[in-house]
Amino acid sequence: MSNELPAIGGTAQKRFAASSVRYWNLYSSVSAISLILVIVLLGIVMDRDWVYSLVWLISGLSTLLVLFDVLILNKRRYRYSSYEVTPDHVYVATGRLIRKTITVGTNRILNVETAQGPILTSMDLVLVKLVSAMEVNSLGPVTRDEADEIRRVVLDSQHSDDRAQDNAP
Amino acid sequence: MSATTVRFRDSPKLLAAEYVRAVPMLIFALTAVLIWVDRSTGVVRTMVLLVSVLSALGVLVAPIVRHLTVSYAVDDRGVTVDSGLFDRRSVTLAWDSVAAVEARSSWDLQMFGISSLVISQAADDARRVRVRGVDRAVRAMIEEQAAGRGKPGGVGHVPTEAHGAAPADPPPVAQPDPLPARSDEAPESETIYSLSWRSLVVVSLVHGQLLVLAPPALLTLWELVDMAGLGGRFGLVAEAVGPAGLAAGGVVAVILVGAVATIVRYNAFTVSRRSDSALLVEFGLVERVQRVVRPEALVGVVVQRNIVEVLLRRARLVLLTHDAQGHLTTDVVFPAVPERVLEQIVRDSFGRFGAAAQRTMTVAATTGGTVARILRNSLIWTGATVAVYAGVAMADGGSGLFAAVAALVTAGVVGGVGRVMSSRLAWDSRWEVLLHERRFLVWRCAAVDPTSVHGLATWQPSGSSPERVLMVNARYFAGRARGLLALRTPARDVELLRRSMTVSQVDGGRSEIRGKLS
Repeated sequence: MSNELPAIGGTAQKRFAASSVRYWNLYSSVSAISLILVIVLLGIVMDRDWVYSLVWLISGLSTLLVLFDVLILNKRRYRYSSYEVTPDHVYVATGRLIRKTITVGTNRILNVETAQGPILTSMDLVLVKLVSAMEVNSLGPVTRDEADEIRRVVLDSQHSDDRAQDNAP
Repeated sequence: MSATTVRFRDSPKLLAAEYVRAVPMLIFALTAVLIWVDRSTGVVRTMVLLVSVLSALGVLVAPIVRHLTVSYAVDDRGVTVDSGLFDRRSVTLAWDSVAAVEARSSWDLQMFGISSLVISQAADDARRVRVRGVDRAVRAMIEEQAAGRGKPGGVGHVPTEAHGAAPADPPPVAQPDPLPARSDEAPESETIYSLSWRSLVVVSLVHGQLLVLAPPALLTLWELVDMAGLGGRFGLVAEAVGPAGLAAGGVVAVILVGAVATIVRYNAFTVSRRSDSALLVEFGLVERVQRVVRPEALVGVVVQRNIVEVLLRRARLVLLTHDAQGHLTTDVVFPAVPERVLEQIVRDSFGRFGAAAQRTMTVAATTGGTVARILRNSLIWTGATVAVYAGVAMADGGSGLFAAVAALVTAGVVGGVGRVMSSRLAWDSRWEVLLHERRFLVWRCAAVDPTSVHGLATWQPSGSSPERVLMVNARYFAGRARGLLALRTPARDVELLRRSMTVSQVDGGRSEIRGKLS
């Protein structure tokens, strides 16, 4: 992989796993259903007319938002997200209207962690967390192989860095 | 630990100091409980009595248990603290990873001539240990070790193994050369800045301490007057002097309270440069704070001035260090330093950071418009807050609580947006530092080492060229994660910063950071 850092706002070499869209769709749906359930329970416990109105309002809004996520946003999120991890740098670009990019020197990453909830497990995907001093940058979901590759690149970079340190006069 | 390991426990004087602090409160609490118990009956009475007696015993016994179970070992490699009665813990900090040693002497410790030390590594999640009560000799030895100067064999009369039942050590690895006995003398130092009490009064006014400290102090005073039954007399006096006199008296009282509070906090503020290049900052009356700032712990400096400081040609200087805030309560602040003194301090002691910040301040002062811009922004902020308060209060027509909350939220939002909008970030190629300048309510310039930046986030409109960066947030580490958020940053400077972040691995940048965090 080339060590050349993409221009600010530019697209990186890799994309998240193709099934990311399905994961985000499921995540949005589960989150909305959980929220609606909590609101409905609250309505039953409080048993007030205005609370029931609020339940309908929030449920309706949540459903609309989930539909917007599933039909439009998550596909775009996938299309406009990219990343690359090289021995020199980690670069993540996201967003369509406002492009957000994150650049971290690979030498600043202290640890690579992977996280996998039940939905990710069922799809055999992982989220990668790059831990630097006081900050954690997440990327993914990516496949397990891709996560292993990211970990390998970062650790190899650390080893070569340590060797450079040891060989320093 | 090596053969020259020095073992010791907290000074026995610490027991006396702890009792001096705790016993009056204990007597007060027990008296209150006894009065309550006398008026009550039943099981609750017995339970409260039992819990109170046990708590009192705990307060009396805890210092003794701590004294017997906590021990320290210092050698040329690090400091180890063993503690715990049943669950024994042992924490070792290597001197190489120690970022700071801060000495504190609260009034009770001062009575017995001892002080406590906080020895800390960099980063929030890193270790720190506290040596609770040591005399001057032990303190000097620890500070020398932390500064990488002395060796334990050099301090002749510190308490040794004979005093403590510390756990057994492995055989010595090496016998370090002992230094000549240094008695309890501190490293030689040269005073580079100090504040007289007159300057502290100025600081109180300039920093607006009166606005922060006076309201609670006045409320307490009023409560005392009321409790003493002098409220009626106060009313008579207020009637006699009239509203104007009362307001004038209030202002004088507020200024006095602010000045006294500042003097108590910053009393005898002195900054010295030691022969090992470390800075020693000392201040405080009731609690004397002494803090050693090692040059390698410096990440950058901040020069800040409000309108009063601009007019008085003063500025406050803040040191950003690896250990700042995360462990040691606060950044090191040099309050309201005159411009010419500031120039000398930053030139002699803070190298390129100070030079860059100083030059920016000079440019800002000579360019003009700084005061006007600060005033304009302050007016916008105050106007928005007051307008929201008045509008909501009128619409609500209630107690004003809702209006106050809305005003606070407005102040926060307008303040946050204003701070970002008035910020700019630039790469100073002459001094190789990042400069972050802000003109909102105060003028503020941070000069930060680019190698301490560990992440950079940028925002830009989609489809625009890389030259058009909307917003930048450079994340760096100075005791905790901090950010340099700016709306205006030249694209060339962003690119320079990105490049500098990704090439530093050849000089072991990560290893350096890992070392500081380990």
